[in-house]
Amino acid sequence: MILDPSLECADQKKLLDDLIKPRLSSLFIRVYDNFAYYRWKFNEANVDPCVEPLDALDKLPFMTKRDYMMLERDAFLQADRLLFYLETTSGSTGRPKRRFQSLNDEINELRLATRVFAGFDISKDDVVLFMDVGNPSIYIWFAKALENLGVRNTIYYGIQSDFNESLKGIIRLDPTVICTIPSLLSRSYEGILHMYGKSKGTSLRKIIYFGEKLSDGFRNRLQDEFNVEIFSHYGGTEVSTIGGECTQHNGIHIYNDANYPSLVDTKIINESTQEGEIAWTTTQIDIQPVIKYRIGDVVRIDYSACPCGRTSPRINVIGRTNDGFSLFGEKFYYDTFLDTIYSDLDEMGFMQIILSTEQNRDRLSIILPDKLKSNEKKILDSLYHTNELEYFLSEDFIQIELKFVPNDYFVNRKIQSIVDQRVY
Amino acid sequence: MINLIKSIVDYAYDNVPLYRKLYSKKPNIDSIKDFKNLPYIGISDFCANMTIDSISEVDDIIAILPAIDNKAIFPFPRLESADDRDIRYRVFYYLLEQMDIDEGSTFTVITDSKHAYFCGELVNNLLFYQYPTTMLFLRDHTPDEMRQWVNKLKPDCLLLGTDRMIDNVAEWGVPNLLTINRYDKNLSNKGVRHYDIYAISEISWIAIRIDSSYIYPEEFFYIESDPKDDILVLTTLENYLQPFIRYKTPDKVKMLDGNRFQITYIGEH
Repeated sequence: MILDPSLECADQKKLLDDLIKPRLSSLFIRVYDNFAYYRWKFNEANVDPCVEPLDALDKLPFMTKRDYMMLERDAFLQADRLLFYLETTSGSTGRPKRRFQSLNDEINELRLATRVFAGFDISKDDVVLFMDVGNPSIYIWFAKALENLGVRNTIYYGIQSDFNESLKGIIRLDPTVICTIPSLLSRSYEGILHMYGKSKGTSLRKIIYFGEKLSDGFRNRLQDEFNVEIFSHYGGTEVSTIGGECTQHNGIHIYNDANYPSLVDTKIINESTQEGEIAWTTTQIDIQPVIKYRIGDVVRIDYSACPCGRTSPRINVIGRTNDGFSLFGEKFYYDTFLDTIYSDLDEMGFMQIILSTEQNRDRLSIILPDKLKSNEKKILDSLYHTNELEYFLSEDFIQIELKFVPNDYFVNRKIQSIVDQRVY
Repeated sequence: MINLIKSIVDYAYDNVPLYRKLYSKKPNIDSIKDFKNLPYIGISDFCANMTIDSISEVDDIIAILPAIDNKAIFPFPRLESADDRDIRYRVFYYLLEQMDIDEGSTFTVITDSKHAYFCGELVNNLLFYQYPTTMLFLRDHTPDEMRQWVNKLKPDCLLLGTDRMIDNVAEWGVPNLLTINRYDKNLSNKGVRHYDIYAISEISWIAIRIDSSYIYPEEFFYIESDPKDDILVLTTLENYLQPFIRYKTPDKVKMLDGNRFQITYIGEH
């Protein structure tokens, strides 16, 4: 279903001139006035916020996660009593990145999420089950988007570390749609297969995933074994909902009237397709908007028309920049671990992170130089008290270990900072 | 107790602009009598100032507790540091301990879009303490439809996070019913244990009704009533980011011995 054809099926050139450019101009003027960080960046790049917006956008620098933290104080001051909610995610300096949201943000983002969920073609009679391990806040938001579409039955189902035991209740609810993160699907696969094998005659028709990449192999396996249609919802803490797949399953539609894409080091694939690290400019975020913000995904972006009728570009996420990884949908960054480990040691040094799966648990192996072995207890203690890790560790969702290697391991070999050996 | 009170008053005066404005000089608190000479503070004091004036440090904020009832405008959100959030979890655990339920009991929460964010935090706390929890979103469901969903889950406890009246909920076969600021004697007279959580959006959950009175953790709250109008007056003893000192709530109470009170009138939250 296309919820808003006037936007989603509009001629892209006309949409750019009539809507996107005015929204970008408005954003630039607003942020220049309200954020010390943006004023500094505009001045540094010698950009007048009132000039032609695509020229301005082109000249402005890309934003990083460290830049993002410079927005927080001004965003908080601006929001004042309109402050509605706070999203946090693992920061790059050991403390969480924060996105303050106003009530306007809630409404704007809900509008967009409703368009994205309409693309999943969910009917009013569907029973949508959200399955996750912790805070249900994102699902509440999804449930509200579905409520806008008239869907009556939406259920949040909290999974605990004993996956198979936790899953037993799901069969009685007999959902037609399951919305969850790939890592949880992977860990509960056998349990769900037991309940939802082809021969069981259950009602499950669709799986919507988000927060992490789903490998083609696992996707195909899910489709075949469960006989379901699979959709991807795409977004991020700092940018909120970006887009989602349609029933054509040929990429994720991004709604560029709300989130405008730029690429770092664009590689031209053909006349309608480009590739590069994606950066977003959010024109509909009220309190803490971003301009050319790098969320760490490398994408292929396709500007050709989609048979579904939408004219918006489609992306396929083809990789991550090697500075982060996800645990149960929660993003973590290499720098967070580096800062946490070395913060009390009065020195900076080397580290490698290896992610693997053992008995349905993510194992996080942190490789450190031998010279730190005497600080093992202190380092583990720091990691156990890292905000976002604490819950996963205490509930036994993940395991963590330190491995010490000869000091020259880091000097003599060109090693990757993060090695992800998990399969899902 | 007096040391906790003195500590939070001193800290608030030194670090929170609102209290520095309110008190003409740094209060010298040596006794409860000294403390009770401090002026009350009310919602209007918070509304007359910027949110930043009610907190000690912007950089310490790591969470916002959503309002109980998601109105279009509410006076101010509860802002939390990491320590404040831990304390909120500990208060919640204290409330759970007062209930006559086994560890690992299963919960189902019924909520609606107005109350969903606040209830989501309750779900988060329940899962943290390893109570398997499911949340159902109430729309235009009839009580019978909702009952059918609950029957599929067969929870040990049902939390009603909605202001809609649900007919015959006490007859659904769930042994424990939990409400928020909504004690209803009809829910507890049919062989069902009915617990009511007393909560304020700007402060979070505070007490739980056991039998005829509400019980609260004294290590986190100092509670008194204004002798002139019986309004419940609350002081948070451990919340250093956004302290509430002699805060007049919209509710009337009768204070009982120990850490108990009875609510005689519940205002709007």
